Amino acid sequence: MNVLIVAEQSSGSVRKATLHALAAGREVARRTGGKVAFALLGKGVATVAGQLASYGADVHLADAPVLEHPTAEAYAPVLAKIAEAANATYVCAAATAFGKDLLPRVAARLGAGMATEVLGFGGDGASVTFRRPMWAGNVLAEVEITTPVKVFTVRATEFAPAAKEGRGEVRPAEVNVDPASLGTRYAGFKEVKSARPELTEARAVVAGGRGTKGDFALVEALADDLGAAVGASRAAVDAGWAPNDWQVGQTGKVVAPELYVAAGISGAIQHVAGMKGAKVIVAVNKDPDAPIFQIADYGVVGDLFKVIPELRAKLAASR
Amino acid sequence: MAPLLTGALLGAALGAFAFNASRRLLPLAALRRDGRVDRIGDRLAALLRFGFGQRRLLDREERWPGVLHALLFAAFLVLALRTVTLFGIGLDRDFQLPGLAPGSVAGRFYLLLEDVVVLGASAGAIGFLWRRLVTRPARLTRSWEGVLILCFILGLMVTELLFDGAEQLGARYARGDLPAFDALEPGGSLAAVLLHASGASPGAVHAIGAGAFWSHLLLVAVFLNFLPFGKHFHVVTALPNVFLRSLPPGSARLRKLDLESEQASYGAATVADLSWKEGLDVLSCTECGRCQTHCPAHVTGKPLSHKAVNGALKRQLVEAAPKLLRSMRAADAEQRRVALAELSPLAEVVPPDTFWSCTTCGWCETACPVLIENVPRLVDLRRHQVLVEAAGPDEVARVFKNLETQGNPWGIGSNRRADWCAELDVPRASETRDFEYLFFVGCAGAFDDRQKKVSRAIVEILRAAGVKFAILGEEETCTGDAARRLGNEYLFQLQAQANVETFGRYGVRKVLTQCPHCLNAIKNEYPDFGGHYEVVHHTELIAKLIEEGRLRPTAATERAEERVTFHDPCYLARHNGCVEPPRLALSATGLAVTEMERSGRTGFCCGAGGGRMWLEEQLGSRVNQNRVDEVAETLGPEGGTVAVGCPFCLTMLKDGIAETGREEQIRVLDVAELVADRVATGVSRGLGR
Repeated sequence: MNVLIVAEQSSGSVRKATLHALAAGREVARRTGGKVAFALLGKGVATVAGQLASYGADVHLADAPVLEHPTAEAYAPVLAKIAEAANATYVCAAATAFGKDLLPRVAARLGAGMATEVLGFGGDGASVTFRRPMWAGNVLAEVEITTPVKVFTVRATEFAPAAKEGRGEVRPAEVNVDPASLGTRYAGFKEVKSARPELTEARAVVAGGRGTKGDFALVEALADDLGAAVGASRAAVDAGWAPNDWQVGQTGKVVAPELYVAAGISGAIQHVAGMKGAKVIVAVNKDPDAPIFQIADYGVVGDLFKVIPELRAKLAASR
Repeated sequence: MAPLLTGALLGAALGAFAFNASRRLLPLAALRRDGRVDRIGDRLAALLRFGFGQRRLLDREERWPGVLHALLFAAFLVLALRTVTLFGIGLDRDFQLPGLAPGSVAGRFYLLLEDVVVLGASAGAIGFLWRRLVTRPARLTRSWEGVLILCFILGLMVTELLFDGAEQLGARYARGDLPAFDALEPGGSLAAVLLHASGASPGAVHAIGAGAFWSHLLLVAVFLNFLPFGKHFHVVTALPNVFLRSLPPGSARLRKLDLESEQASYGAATVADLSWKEGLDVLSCTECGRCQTHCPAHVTGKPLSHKAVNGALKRQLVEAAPKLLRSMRAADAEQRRVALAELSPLAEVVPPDTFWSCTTCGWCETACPVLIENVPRLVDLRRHQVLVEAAGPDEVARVFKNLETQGNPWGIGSNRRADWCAELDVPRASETRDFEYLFFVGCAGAFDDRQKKVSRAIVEILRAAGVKFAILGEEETCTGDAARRLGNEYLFQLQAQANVETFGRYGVRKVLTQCPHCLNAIKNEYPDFGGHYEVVHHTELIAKLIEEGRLRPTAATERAEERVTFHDPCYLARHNGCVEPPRLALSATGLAVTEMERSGRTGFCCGAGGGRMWLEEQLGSRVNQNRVDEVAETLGPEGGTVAVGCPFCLTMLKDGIAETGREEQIRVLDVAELVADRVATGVSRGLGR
């Protein structure tokens, strides 16, 4: 049973998320004994097709002016055709904005059931089930898709990127979309440029509190070392040391990063309510009785003005 | 004297008054029903105490203006009879009230009383004019209406005195006498002496008397008809408003919304959703401003002013009167809906920032001389925002979701509710029936690391005194107090039903709480959900145990040196009248409490009530810092301890102390911690700041 991976490209190169999706696709193909192939859509993307072929899968290339921009309305019928031509049982993409926009339409055209945000697979042998989060991540559900064709998107972070192996072929695919028939028009692309990631979406957050005594320079430096967003306790925001939109807590932002560094934050419950979902909590505080140490996975009792520079030095050394 | 003229004047005055007063009052009949004629004894007592006794006006802080008002009030009561007499004289020169004939004992006594109150009221009116025009205290709304009314009153008194004086002088002249001051008729005789001294001819005296008489009657007529149009309508409505008060006070026991009914109302969308008594409340508001003197929102510069809200609602009520009257004639709900269509949304009349600023502390209701209730009305405005408009501050959605999913405002896993006592081996109600008190720990007591210490101190005290108790553990869930006061009645009812069911399952009869908000909800609001319990606050129980000799804290002598003050939680002192027990508990451990200026039932809120704990405080200055300033002032430069009895107060004061850089001087401890420190071992456990 063949697996079709919908590739995503931007300005002439493969998006990394596609390689994570490929890893998921290979896992399914290995169990079902099928072949993995790519579908690549765009305008003038032959070089991208070449890059994809180096991962050992055939590439169905739909290259046409009408596909210059990834509008789901134009892409979906082309993809559905490719899926049928490639005899694909599984159609898979990364759960990016592109994949989430496109695949439901493809599923509808193929009369396929769909699972979104898949984290992993279950079931026995060739009968593959899909593990996906429900209720805002509080529950993991294992779902089975009963339609002949099955469509799914995967969370890129849950699959390691696939490595290159073998060589595939590039096969041109037919594009039969009349631009005049489309109800959607590409208006433009606006990229949000920010030196630091958005606080609520960041994978890591470094936050400072009263213990910074108003000096956030070290907190910000560590955040930049880690590619993290900067947060603050209400006390620090109140004191005017940090802007309002940095506030993490009950009445500020609620964050759930993979890493949360609390520097000079005592960890009163009003703050904890905003970051208790963090996977790993690191606390630096002078007071050994500070409640933050109750929830911290790693704690350093000490002056943040000494500890953070040491931490930064170690980070720099490990790179 | 002139029966036709007097009769015409009297008829016109009364007719116009009846017309205008009923235009104000009749629309109230279109508003929500609310029974207010039960407990007649309590109502009469309130009428005597707050109405005729002017109790609230004579408040400690407001003594002078209170005395001035009492003088005017007394004059109005006494002169009501005199006014009847004067109109009687107008109709028939020899008219006199039965039983008060001049010369009779009662008549002479009435003359004395009348003269005293007339002189008193003159002084009162002059005093008030002085306040309005010269000293101008901030709580007053300066208006021409206030000055005009005072001039009316002064005019009534002066014309009364002149008429009386001229009458007496005329009689003296007729007898060939000279006027003299008579202590039994101090006002009239004084006026007579002064008139005589002015050298006016007998003819002029007669003319002055007649002029004063007609001016007086005319003033009465004008004054009477001025009342319905302004804040002085309270002259008419205040006493009924006091008599029709809500019993018990509605802010401690908010109205239960019937969410099952098809015609359910979800709070107040327009003025038509008020109750008739709320309408009477706003008509009775005199804009005296006592409600805002210590209103935590008003004092710290937030846009809430109860008298301004009342004024806005009053104008809205007057504007809506024709529609309200039409709605009363509606045959069915649809016609009623049509009649009331296009009333302004109340959120436009009273801006949301106003009613979201309220901490429901209840100061305004403790201060209002005519017992106007503000809190339930403001909560009804929130209810409409939350339940119908799905609007409100961004933070409320998070609190509601956390309460819905985990039963606590922070959203911490409900399975961790009993972690605080993991090593204490506290019995669960599900394991034993052998308990006297159900210790309702509350969300803060169970999840907040700081408050967990208080929970443990309470356990220590209960054990030292041999009190049998149990907790619900993971089966406990938030009482819903904050949800209700933030307008989410639906969520509150779910929480209340869940707790009442759990209590019922374990045959709970007595409940011990450490949070006054839990206390208030369980004690005053759960009865509406079929839950009737004896509910005590931990400070009450501690005081009782000490009194019974079951708890013997060691009163260490060094403690007398320690500076301590007590911050009264609003939901303990004000809403539930528990003032003495925490102080008894503290003094039993040898602590001498220095009282803050604002304490007991007139305490100052920490800023966290009414769900404000869960909202960001973005307007004005910080309520908690205002209170901490007072704590610091009370404790003096050496600093000391501020004792509390509420987890919200503890958090707010602790933050306020840190925010104002006083961590080295002032520490916050719960009464239970201070007592436990002296109970178990008598050795200090090194209570932290």
